[in-house]
Amino acid sequence: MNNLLKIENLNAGYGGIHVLFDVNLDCTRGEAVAIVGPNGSGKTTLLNSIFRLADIFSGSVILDGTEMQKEKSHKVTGRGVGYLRQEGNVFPGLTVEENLKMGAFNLPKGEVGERMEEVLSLVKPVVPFLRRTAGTLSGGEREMVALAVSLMCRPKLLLLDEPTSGLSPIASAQIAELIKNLKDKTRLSMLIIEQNLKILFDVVDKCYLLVSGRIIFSGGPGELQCDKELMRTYLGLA
Amino acid sequence: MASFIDALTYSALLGLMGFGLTLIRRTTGVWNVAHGEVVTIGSYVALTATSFLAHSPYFYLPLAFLVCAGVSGIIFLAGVEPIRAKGASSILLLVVTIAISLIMIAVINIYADYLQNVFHLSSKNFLFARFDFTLLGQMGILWAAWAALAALTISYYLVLQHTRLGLALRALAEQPTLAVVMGANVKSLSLLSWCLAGGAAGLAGCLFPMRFQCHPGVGTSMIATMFAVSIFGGIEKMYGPLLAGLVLGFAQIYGIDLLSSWVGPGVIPFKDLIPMIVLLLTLQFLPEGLSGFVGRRRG
Repeated sequence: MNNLLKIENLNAGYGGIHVLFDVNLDCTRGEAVAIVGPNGSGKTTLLNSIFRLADIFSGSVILDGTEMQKEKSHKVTGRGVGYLRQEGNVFPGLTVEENLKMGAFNLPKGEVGERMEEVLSLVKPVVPFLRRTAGTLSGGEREMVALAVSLMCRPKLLLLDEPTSGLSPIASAQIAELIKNLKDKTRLSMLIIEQNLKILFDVVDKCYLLVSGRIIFSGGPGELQCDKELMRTYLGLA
Repeated sequence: MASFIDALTYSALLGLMGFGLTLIRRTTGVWNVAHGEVVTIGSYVALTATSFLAHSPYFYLPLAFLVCAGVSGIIFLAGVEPIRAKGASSILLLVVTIAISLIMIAVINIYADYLQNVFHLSSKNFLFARFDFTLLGQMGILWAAWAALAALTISYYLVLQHTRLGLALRALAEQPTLAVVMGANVKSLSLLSWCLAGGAAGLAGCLFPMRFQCHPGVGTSMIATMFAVSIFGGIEKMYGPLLAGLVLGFAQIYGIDLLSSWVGPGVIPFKDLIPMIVLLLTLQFLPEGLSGFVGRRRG
């Protein structure tokens, strides 16, 4: 099978709160998959479930043939998953270089320098900030650092949770360009949550529409854009 | 001069106690009220070992470190972590440590009674001054307390700044969830912090009776002062407790001596109020503490 990630009948949430209901999702190698939907539909919970940051009630998350629902959270990165979270995605008191080193926490010590060079060649705008404390960067700069940090663990699958959220149009365009470059230059699979559909539809191969914790559409971005009813009702676009 | 030396010694011991409290607060966000009892256990390890095995209490510093590190680790694993894992707030965790503290007070008192009744040891009030040595005209405890505090602060600084483990501990202090996402085992790192903090408390507890009277409630009676040291020192840098211990130790011992020479000995019983006044003033005017203030001025 070419499937890198397979989610089957996933029911998940936090404590006693049920957020996701029977979610099914596939992501093949090298594929970029979008998860779209209104606020509060469970998109972040879906990414958190892969990382065991949400409670899995039933169903399975299979990554590269391994069932992940019994895996401890801190071991998921070691399985080849990078996660750029929407908030709290850098350590503000550490320098950018230290953030990058922390991103490579699972790699053998001897590989960290080499990996940092590889990542910095992919995310060049980060290079001038290496010595700066992450907390002193602007929102756009910080997001680029967060993207670079999420790549440090040599991921096979990258989870991106609203990478352009709260950024200026210029910063958003820079991040979008970086993500597009990543897709073109690497065989990285991506699961992307993004409110800016223009950015998203340029990059992704497949879309899932999540509403109230249930997948109500899956297909190519073109198909979704053609469905005016879904676009208007759930994504606010005519 | 005697009170100056007392103040210097007391400052170092306060710094050691505050070091552990700050370390736990910095890495796991928990205010550990039971830290005072861990200090007391350090004193009782020294009492037990010197009574049954002879040698100076200095000889048993490593033992006190290990026992108290173990006790602190057990407090974390058995008391704090199961409740923290369920998403308990920091206030609830504070309450948990109060409950643990009360249980430990009872256990320490039972143990002190046992030592007194069965072995006829003076376990309710003891002092090890007779074991001390003299160096450069001063009691050894002065040098030992400062050496322990300096060694701990410097080695912790080196670990934090120059090792992967230190980087992970700093990351854990800032964003625990992000540290998990990057592959850090937060439970193990937190346990390590609690053990190191307990070890520091054990050193303080083992050294304390070399100069000051010890009893089953000694740590409990000092916990508010330890909190003052931790808050006044701040959590930004681990040298915070060292600075705060110095200021508060002097204020409490040397300051009260000076004050009593001006306004009379009636103020001496109120010396424990000095750290509380500093605590209140810190929270109002310097909430980030001394180390945060120094960091801000540099930054």
